[in-house]
Amino acid sequence: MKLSFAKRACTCAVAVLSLFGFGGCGSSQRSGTITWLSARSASEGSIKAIKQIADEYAKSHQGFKLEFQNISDRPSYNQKLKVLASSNRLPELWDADPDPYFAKLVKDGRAEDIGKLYKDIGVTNRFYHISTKYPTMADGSLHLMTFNANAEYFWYNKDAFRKAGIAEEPKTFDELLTDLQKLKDTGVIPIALDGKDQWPFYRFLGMIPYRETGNEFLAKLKVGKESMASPTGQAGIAFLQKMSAYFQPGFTNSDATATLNLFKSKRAAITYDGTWNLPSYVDDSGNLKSDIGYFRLPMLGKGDKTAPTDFFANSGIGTAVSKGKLTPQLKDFLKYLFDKYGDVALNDYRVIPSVKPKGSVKTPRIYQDVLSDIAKVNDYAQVWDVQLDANTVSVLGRQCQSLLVDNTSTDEFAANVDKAIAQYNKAK
Amino acid sequence: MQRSNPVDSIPPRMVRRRRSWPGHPSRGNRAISSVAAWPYYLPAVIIFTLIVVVPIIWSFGASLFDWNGIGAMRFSGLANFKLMLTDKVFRAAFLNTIFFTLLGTCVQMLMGLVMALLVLCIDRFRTIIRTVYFIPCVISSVAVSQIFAQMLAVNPPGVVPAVGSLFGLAPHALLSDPHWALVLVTLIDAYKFAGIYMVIYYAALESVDAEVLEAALIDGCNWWQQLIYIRVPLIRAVLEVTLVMLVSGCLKGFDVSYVLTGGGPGSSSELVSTYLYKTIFISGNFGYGSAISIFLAVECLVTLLILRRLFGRGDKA
Repeated sequence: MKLSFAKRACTCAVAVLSLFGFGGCGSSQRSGTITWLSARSASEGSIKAIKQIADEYAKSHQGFKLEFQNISDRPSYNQKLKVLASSNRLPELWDADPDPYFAKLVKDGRAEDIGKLYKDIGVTNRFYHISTKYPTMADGSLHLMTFNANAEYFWYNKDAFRKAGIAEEPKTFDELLTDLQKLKDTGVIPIALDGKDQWPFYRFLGMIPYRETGNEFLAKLKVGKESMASPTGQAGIAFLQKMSAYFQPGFTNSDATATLNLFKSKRAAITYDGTWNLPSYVDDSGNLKSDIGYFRLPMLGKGDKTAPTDFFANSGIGTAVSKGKLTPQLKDFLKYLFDKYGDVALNDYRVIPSVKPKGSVKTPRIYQDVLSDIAKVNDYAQVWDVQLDANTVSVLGRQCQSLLVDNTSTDEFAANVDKAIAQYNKAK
Repeated sequence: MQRSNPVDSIPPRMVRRRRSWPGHPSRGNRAISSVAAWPYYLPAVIIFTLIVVVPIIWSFGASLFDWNGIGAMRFSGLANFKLMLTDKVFRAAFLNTIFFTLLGTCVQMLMGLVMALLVLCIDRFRTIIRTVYFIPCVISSVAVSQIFAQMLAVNPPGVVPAVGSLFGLAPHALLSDPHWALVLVTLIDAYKFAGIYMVIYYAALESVDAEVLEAALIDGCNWWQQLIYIRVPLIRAVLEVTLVMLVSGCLKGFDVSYVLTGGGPGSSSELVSTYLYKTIFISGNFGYGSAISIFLAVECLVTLLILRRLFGRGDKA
């Protein structure tokens, strides 16, 4: 018995010691490893391009390794980010939107100055305007690197338009609403909307205020100097309500895949989507499918404060470098990455990059047209779900759903959103 | 003839000893056995304390602060608890949770019992049918929710609208209807977990003494009377345990509501636990979220105490 006990005790001791031993080995081996907590899917073109460049870099830099932790489901990613941030365990690189939560992290000294990094490695002028403007904080500082340049369009099925007798793409909101009615009359779903993810609600809500005031309304709204009950706010709500008459039945519970399927199967005439989904609208050769067209954000017709070339564009989720973790090696890698990224992303993976390609563009015309549109964007429309704080966005999403299923009034909608904003500003 | 009591011939000290053994140990023995039992209790007590008691105390501490997860925590006293009283979404979530618990508990108990009786009544393929009934329990909630989302979808029409159209019913997006969303979430959640209770009830019903049932049969009891007057009273303790499990499980219900409707449309299918999750991990309000978690813990505790009291009264009666 005693021998047996001794054996067991020894086994336990060896197990515990080896655990510590292996742990030690692991940590020493990981000294050159850079961990990137990413909100993008591992199958996304931008991630594949970065991995390819990192692999090339690793060949000439012994010990270097870039390790991705991909959590493509955004709520799960945000949960992970918040848990890691609150426990001071953020990795070297992590993705974030330039939202109020990220602003707090910056204020708390968790992220490196990317503006300075860009200057140090000499890449500032290589970015598209939108790719440095979108992640810039309210105080003018830049703390996020970007890898995409996205534009948002109304994508439409040409056959559905033809059948409804629509000869031209709508230029104004009134024309859009008229065309939607024509489409509805033919029996097709006028607009397929991804209501489960809620972001399209915020876009439709913000369209009229943007055309009326530029980004001024949103800028004032978020600090409590404007109200959703104001004429501009009410115009935004009214437009969202009008549009909802043309969404597919059950849109509040329809996700991105279901929405895209409705459009691709031609059961829906229009969908509102960004160029991050461009591969869904192109054929095998990368050209826009012949039966699909697209148009930009319509205008008011009179009294527009913004140009037709300005619309919803962004640079996707950004990437921050943890404070104190910008080692010379990481800096060198990022220089190498941005030097190659534009060409690799665009030519090899058909991703519209944040960085202008150095070489010739070999991609199909649609990519070049989008790049041209993005280059023309001067005062891009800011997105509400990034500008407003997370709690207000949560209230906004809930209120949008309630409003569109007739479970709340416009006055209550405005009051609840204003209250959430006021609470945030008071707490700040 | 009066029998002499054998105890009378034993000295009083011995009698006391004999009376205290084996069912009634003396105070000294009780103390010794209690001390001797502690090493056996201790691991469970330590684990329970670490994973249940400490987090509750920790959460209570956090609920007294205003904290977004970054930087310094700001003491706010009971402000987070006061906020709960005026928060319309929280109120809606609480009422939804009550509805979810009442309907979910009734449906799961009833479904579990009916399925157990069906399995008990059949002789052939019993194991296969039992397995089929149990399958939803082993499928993940996400998968079950996605299957039902597809079945209830109207674009393209799923099984439910397609069958409805055969009877002339117009397709209706039930999950996007605030009047139906919570009912469906509750029923789908009940469908997923009813199999567990089927297994428990089946085991309990199987263990009812066959002789008692035969005696009832001889006395002229039909199947229904056997069920109501013999079987159900004999498995009362099991029914009480499952009721406690169901109520506490439903009060903490999360997965189906979160995956299927995300608590929507609006807050029509929001539950306290989904709202708690969103408050902490989406809104980043750790203080208020902790206050909600304390509310949830107290709510569960109070409900279970009430149930215990009710069961106690039943026993006395």
